[in-house]
Amino acid sequence: MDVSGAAHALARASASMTDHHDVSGGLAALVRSCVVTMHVDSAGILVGASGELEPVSSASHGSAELDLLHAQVAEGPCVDAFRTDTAVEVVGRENLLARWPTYASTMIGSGFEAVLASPLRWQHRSIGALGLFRRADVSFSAEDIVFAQAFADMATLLILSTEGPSTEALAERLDSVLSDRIAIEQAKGVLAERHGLTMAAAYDRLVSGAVDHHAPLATWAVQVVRDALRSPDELDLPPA
Amino acid sequence: MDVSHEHLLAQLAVTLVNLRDTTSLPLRLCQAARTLLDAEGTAMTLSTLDGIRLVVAATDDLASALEDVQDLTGEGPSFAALDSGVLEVAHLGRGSDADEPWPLMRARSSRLGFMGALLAIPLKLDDQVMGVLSARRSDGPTSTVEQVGSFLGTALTAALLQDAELGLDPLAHPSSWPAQAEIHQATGMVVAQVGVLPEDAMSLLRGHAFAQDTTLADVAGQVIAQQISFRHFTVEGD
Repeated sequence: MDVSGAAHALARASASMTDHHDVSGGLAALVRSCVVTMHVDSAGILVGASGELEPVSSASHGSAELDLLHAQVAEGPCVDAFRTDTAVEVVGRENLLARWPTYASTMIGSGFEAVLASPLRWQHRSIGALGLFRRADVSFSAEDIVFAQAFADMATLLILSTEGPSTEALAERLDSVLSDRIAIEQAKGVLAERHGLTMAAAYDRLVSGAVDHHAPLATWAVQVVRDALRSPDELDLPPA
Repeated sequence: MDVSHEHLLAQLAVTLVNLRDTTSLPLRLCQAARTLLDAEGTAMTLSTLDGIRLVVAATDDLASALEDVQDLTGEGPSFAALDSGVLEVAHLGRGSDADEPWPLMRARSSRLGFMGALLAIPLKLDDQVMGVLSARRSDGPTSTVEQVGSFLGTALTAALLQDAELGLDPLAHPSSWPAQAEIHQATGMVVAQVGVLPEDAMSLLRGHAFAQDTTLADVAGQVIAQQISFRHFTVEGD
């Protein structure tokens, strides 16, 4: 594999995200770079839409290459990578036919004998997959797999960055995640102090309180801390 | 050595993929940053809009302790980088140079036994500073630190924000919620003990740590272990 070329391609993709870009153009450039730098013969990206994969980009629009992508409706490497959220590598006719009887005949018929599919991961799930195909039955190295995943990650960012949340929205989300976590820890402290509980038991009590009051955990945590402010458990406070 | 953006990106990709799934996201980012900065330890601090700082990951105890010292004294490169949005460096263990900023923080941290540079790299999204990555290096900053730091500040923020829970979901990564959780638990206990606002409760903890010449984490631990109670606590002069 051409490491510095691959790195360069990744950098170009990341640079294009900061400009106002067109997603299709960015993805097309990315899959073309994959083909050149990863020493594969074809590459394509499929994205999940209501459970099924749709091809969104292909390194070439030759009929054999398009078949590689379009044939993956019910089974195939990208389908597996998408569903299992892990990279899938299968090399050689026998292995291909054993794993995907229908898809493998299309793939072999189009002249390809090795495939590596990497999931497009976003927030603990997969939104699609990047497939890299070789005509020769040559395995992918550990480094190939790492870089393929980096390309897949970059494709994910390209796809999601256009409709992604604004900076303000991200800043607010970050703030709310942090504030929620802080409130939950503080509420555990309040409950531990008031009821002589361990932090683990205090957490259980906090959770059941939230359930009983039909409140989100963090909202309930804020309430618990506010209650402690109104009525500290110390009754013989020194005069203010 | 010229460090190209693409070279860094590739290094980051390789480091991150190799660390995938072994630990929480913030810790993975800290580990990746440690590698890229050739640092001995790193810590990531995020900040809420009302200015509460939270150490979300640290590669080792000393990295946490260096953050704790800054929380305690309210000064240091982390605070400065959060304000300035640019790389800040504290040179620790150089004796008392009057020209050096953050004297309180520097005096306190000298007791931790670390001599070298403490770098604070702002974690930025567009122009908004979301937090700070701290890195320590006994040999001082590398010549490429500006370049690597500015790349890391952007790349780590982008990576961090891919995860809606910022890797802080306690169910997904039970060990990811750091020791700092204890500081907020202790704050809650003090709220229940004296009925003050959480920020005032935290000031009480901080003041106590300062007066006792110890760390915030240590005082929090003592409150939780019920070795300290603020029920009858009065501040001298009240």
